[in-house]
Amino acid sequence: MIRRQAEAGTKATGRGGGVEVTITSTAVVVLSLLILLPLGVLLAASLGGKSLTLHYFSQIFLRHQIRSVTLNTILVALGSTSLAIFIGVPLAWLVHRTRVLFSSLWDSLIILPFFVSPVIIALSWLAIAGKRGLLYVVATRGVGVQTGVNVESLAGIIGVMGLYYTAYMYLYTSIGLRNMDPALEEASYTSGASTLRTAWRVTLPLATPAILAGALLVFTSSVSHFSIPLILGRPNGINVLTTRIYEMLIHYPPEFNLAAAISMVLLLITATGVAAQRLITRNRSFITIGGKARGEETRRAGWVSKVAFLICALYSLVFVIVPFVMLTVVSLMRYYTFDGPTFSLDNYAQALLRHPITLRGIRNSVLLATLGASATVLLGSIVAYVVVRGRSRGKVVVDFLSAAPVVIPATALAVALLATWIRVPFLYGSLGILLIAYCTLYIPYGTRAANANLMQIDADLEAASRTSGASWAYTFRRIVVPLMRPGMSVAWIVLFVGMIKEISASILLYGFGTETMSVVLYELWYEGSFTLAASLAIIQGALIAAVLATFVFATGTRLRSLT
Amino acid sequence: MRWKLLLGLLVLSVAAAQLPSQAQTDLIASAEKEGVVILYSTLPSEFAAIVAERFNQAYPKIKVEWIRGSTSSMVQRYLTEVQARRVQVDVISHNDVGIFQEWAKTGLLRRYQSPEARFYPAGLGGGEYWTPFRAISTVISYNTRHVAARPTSMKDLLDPKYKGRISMLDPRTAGDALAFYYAIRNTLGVEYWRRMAQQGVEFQTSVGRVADQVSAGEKWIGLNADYRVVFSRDVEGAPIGVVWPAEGTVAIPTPVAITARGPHMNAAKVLYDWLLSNRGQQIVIKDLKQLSVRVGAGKTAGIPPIQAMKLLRVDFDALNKERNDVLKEFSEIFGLR
Amino acid sequence: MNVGSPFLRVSGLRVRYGTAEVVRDVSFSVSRGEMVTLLGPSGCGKTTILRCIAGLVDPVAGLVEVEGETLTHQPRGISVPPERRGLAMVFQSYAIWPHMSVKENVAYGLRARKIARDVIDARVKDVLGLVGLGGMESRPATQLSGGQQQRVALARAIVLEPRILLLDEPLSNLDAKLREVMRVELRGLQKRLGITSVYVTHDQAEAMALSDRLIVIREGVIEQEGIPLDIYYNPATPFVANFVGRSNLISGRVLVPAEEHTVVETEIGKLLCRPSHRFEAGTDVIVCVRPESLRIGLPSNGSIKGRVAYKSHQGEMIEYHVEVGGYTVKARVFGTELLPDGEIVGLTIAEPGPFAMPSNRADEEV
Repeated sequence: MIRRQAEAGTKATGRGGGVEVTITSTAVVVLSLLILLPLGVLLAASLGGKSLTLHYFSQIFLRHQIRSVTLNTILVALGSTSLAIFIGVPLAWLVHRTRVLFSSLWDSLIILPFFVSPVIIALSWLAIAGKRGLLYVVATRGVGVQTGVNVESLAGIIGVMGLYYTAYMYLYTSIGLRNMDPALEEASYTSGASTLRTAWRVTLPLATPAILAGALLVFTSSVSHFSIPLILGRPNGINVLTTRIYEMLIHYPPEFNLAAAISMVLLLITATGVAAQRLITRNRSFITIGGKARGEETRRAGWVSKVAFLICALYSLVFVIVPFVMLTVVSLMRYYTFDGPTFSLDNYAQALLRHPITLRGIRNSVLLATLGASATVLLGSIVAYVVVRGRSRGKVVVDFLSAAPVVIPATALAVALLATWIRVPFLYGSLGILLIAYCTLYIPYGTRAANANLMQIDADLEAASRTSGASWAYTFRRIVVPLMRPGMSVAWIVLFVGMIKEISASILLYGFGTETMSVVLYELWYEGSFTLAASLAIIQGALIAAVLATFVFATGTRLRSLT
Repeated sequence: MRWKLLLGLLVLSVAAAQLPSQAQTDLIASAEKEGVVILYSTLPSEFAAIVAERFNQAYPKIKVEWIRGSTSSMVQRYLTEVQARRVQVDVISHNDVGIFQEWAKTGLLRRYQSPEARFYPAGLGGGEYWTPFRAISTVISYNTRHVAARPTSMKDLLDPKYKGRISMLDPRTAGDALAFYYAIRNTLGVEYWRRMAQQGVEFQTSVGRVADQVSAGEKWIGLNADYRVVFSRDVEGAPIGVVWPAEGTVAIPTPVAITARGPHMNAAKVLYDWLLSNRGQQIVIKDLKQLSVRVGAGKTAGIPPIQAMKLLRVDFDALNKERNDVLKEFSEIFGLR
Repeated sequence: MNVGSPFLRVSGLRVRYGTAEVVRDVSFSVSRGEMVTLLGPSGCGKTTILRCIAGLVDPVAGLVEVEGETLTHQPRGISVPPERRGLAMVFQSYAIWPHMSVKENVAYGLRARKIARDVIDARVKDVLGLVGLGGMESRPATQLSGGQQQRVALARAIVLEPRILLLDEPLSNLDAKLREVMRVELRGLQKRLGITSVYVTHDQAEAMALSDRLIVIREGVIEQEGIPLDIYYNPATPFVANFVGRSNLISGRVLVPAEEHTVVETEIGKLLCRPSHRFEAGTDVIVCVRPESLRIGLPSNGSIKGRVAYKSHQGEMIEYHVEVGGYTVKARVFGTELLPDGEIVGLTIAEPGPFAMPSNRADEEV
């Protein structure tokens, strides 16, 4: 289907007229309610509500503990980003630029954290190197001395978060590597430069914009990261801004305005980071697509691929497989102790059959994720349609609003939603408010996916339907929806997995009876049932794996496209 | 012949006294129709599970659903539900007596004259609003492997050898810890706590964690709830010892109450009555291993009865009024602000 | 050529994209059963005009009327949606729906109108037979070749029995041979069914072969309108002369205006031009000489002398570039014998003769 430029009038099918206006206005209203309203309330709360004051913002600087928590947050963000770059970038090069054996296996293993809740990762590392973890027991019993390795520290948090974000940096770098014109590196090799020299002097500089963009995203993400510091830091008195906000809200008396002020600051940091990242990816066309397909020639053979194999295998073993195995081991213990543990399958029996709260959590999560993914796909498709095909002025507003939640950290959104809807009877503590939170957080992804899908569809396909006598609605139903379905199924799966894992907003918005899986997981662990929590974690992982595997095998989509 | 009649009447009246009254039967019937009662409490999970299970055995048609959390999170949760006009809790229990007193005054608790209430000393309860369903005191626990000479008083804890080795419940989250902090502050002065801050005290939000830390030797001293320490020592076999501070301690009569607008009013009353009944209190003593303040209930293994303890007086109303200032002071002293 | 009131009437059409006016005050009519072609280079606005008629684009101003019924009237705010206009369109990209079979594609519009199943089946069968795709009902759309897709697009449009058939460069994506074949078929079909049609293309040969009438469009404006041969023989402007057929455009000045011939002094000598405009002596003109009207022979008295500069064999004919003075004349002659470069030859002009047009500064840019 050839797309033409000037003559075609590509917005032609916007001739819905009244229908289009209604849909655009509805989209604007819904998006404003979901996004602008809570943000406005959050801003008002941060400024003290009716008494407009900067007092709460000033507390951020004046209170010693908040200053030190802010420092922690920045250290954690910088540290984990650096670590992620340090590990992720070379890994990407090793997997995509050498003829390493099983490269697609390493690829899948390295990007696994995308599909796993960070809660699970934190718990796994706790079992390995926490204060009552395996290494500790081995060290004190065997060596009789404290090992320096304690993951329940600031360094530990940086380490585990760095490992988690390695998957992101790996992914962004590999996309940058893939989009490079292979001729540039080939020219270096044919000029006699060695593998390493080419990597350092040609590949790396060309990949820098992609790496930088990825690093910015990782940095902003780690500033608003919640679950790993929640598990490794908070019980030991080490807090970051997000965990501090959480504390402020769950205890009595709550410090709501202060929490709102800190949320606004977080939002500002995230917004700056995202804006900077957009700036980078817009100015440089580092996507230097050379047109020629990448051949095997640009993958180096020889000693490099052997080294690559070793490193990839080691990384996968130590940082992906071992933690998973450890967590499984813990899930099979009767009591959490590495000092003469006893094993049984009782935890799983309890979690799946007897324990009322775990069952509730599983049921709530599956329900919310299903509804949420579906609602987000629907809303995203409508928004995308308005933006891509529409011609009304409202579409700019819709476009902006649908992208806005990207800059809202989940914790901040939860605070905002609490402030906004607390007085609406029956919404607090219901599944409804959780659904609202999930959809709001994921609308940007939904619309992005729908955009990409919709743009693949020639506008003439809709025009042909209209000129054949079908109304706008009939066209949407019988042409647009079926053609978008394959792409949006991918989006649905990604949304489903994301919403199953969600904890940062859920933990502030849940009420009695609406606990989600991740919340139950955390609460169980927090009050001492590590082994039961571990079994629930494995169950969550198995659920996600089953969903992904089914989809991958049924549709032949690659795991990568689900990130 | 007359004495036979008298005997017969005596037997009948005794029997009649044991029979539930018509009101009772109606209450239970309505409760069974509701089928479920929701309990928010600060009891550790294992204990809450036991309570739920036993109640269900006594009333098979009524199920107890519970959540547990720290005092401050339970309080905050209930208050948020009230504000959101979506109260889901029927029976609530936590360790902040002052807050219960305030709730009684502000209409957040339901007035209910339980038939069991007369077995509780009037001074320890909240009349028709709440009753103490157990009592806990703050004790000094120590790891027997690392601590040779056991400490006996709060002053002993200022010894530099304990620096970095002390753990206690966080007054910001635990009602009993707050009362204890307050009492010691009033007795030994703020200066005491300032000097304790030099010791580098770590604060935890659950009794389990403090107990675990001392049991594992990670910390040597833990200021904790009496029953949890005794549980570690006697049931888990941990190397942990317990001492009631020489200066005196605070005994919290942990209130239990029925919420004003909970969804299952009748089931709430049944649970409330059962918790306070002799059967419920025996579970408190034998399974939860905590003190009961019900008259004639019996002793708890390992814990002296309240009358035998040296108690520091706490004015819960005053504490409630000064709460924010006290917490602020605490946070500043320990650098947590 | 309008008999009574026109079947389709477009009047004062003005379309703006952003700040650019892509269609500027276009008016024309189409009679019942006519095939009218909008011809012009890329970007001239012809497709936009077609889309306005279809109702896919809203003009800033203008009127579109079919059988007296107003379909578009701006800025009065009247704009009937495409699905209620009773028109059908064949798109340049064919726009065959990939998730449907051939039959589902063709039946789509009929199903939207909730016509009975058996009626649909019969009509689809007929139409597929008409376009030469009989028996291919169940073929999935993704398995069709370009030519087949084109036929399906046509079938889909015809089966609706539209009042007007709109065709947007339907043959431009086909290879040359297929294009010629389809051209004939298309015209045959249109004549047989008698459907009023508006055709859009940039291919002049196609336009000439297919149309009853031709409308040449340039930069949003109608440059000339008429029957194909007329436009070919009597282009109104150098642009039309160059666009419709090939031409040599030679500047000159009128010497002797006359009823029979106009004598123009040009760079290549005196030319006797066909009478067209009334020119005054001394007017600057541009003379159009069709390359196929030139004959190459030995230099003689009546002929224009020139020197062969270049030649290219095009199969059935040879194109020569002959330098005459400072001007290079292009000639297309039948024959197989190639004259050597540098050869001095004499050019004579056969029918159609040279044709003079008013000279216009802007036209010189052609």
